[in-house]
Amino acid sequence: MSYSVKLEVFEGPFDLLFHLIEKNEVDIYDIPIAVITRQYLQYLDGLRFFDIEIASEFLVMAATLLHIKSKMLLPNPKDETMEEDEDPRQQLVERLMEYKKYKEVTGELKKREEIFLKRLFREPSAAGIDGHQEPVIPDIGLAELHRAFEEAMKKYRELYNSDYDLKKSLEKERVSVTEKIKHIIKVLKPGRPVKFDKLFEGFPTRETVVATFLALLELIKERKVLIEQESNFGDIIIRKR
Amino acid sequence: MDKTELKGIIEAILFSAGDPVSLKDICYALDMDQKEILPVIKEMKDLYNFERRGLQLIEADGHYQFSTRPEHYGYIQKMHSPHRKPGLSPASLETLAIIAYKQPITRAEVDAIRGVQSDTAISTLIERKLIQEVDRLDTVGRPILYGTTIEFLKYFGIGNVEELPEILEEQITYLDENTR
Repeated sequence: MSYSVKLEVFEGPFDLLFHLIEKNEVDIYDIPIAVITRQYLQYLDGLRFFDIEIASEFLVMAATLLHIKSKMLLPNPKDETMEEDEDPRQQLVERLMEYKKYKEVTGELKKREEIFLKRLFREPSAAGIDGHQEPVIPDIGLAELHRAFEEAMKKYRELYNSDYDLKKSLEKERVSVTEKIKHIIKVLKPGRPVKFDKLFEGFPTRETVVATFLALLELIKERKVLIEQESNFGDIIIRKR
Repeated sequence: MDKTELKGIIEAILFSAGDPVSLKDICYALDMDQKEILPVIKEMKDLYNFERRGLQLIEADGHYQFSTRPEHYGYIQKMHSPHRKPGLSPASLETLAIIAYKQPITRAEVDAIRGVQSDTAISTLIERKLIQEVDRLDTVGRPILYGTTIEFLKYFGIGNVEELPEILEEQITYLDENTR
């Protein structure tokens, strides 16, 4: 019997075991332990674990399965201390059944979550005390912009006493993580989440983005901010704790 | 004070708070008994449902709050994209199911049922205020016992904790009958 390993994500060893039991359409109270064990081990072989914590949990189950298999293969020595012949699989089945209960309940909760997440609530307001106003963008036209530019250039000439001679070479921008941490803290106001890409102005250099991201990680570690991301590659939303 | 005014005040309190308001606090504000207030709230709740208003009065463990109705979500979304929390991951939901049904429960017990470590899931659930530390077990290491919160009830549209085992039990009995 061939068994192709699909790269599915399993919540843990029980989840994988269930998958195999269902796939083989076998009775959970009479698991063909040899078949299931072989497939279980095949699945583990197909995985490249890099998380030792998760890998070890799957391996413990593998050991349990092998232990049960060996017990079932070996003739049962008449042991007087054993009250009755217990099926070596029994304990495993009990745990599987217990797990299955909650797995099904999880499905029920998932359905309820989908419905009830669609109810919206008013944000707590403290009766409008901390109600803030969006900054008003002043009505600026091209003329004002031009005037502002002339003004800036005048100041520049006064300062360096040179005629429109802007520096031609650009210095490499130095970005420090500490600086970015300060920046994020300054930008974040309680109750006003900020999107990650809103932390930059203009066209950020790669260094800036990396430094800001590191700063964000540091702030999360220090438990100063909370982040949310609705989906993969979605907007990262940062909130003050 | 007549009933209409009473309803108006309660409505004003709930609207201005935003957060769930406990029956106790409403009684305190009105200087009245729970026995007097509770039927009024119940009447309000029924009226909102009967008239199929855009707002409904929801209850979670003796706390009251206004919310919109799930069936209106599509329209609201068209108007503006409301800030909607992402749903929980399968691991977090599974962990939450176990905690909800077996509360109060330690992390180690959750781990044993799931067959995997649950610390990440548990910290997510705490962060989302769906579970909280309710007690400590009187044993070596005094492990934390976790239980669900009001936020949890709101999250799944459950009125109070008594309703919870029923919902899940139904499912479990059904399962037991069908797997044995």
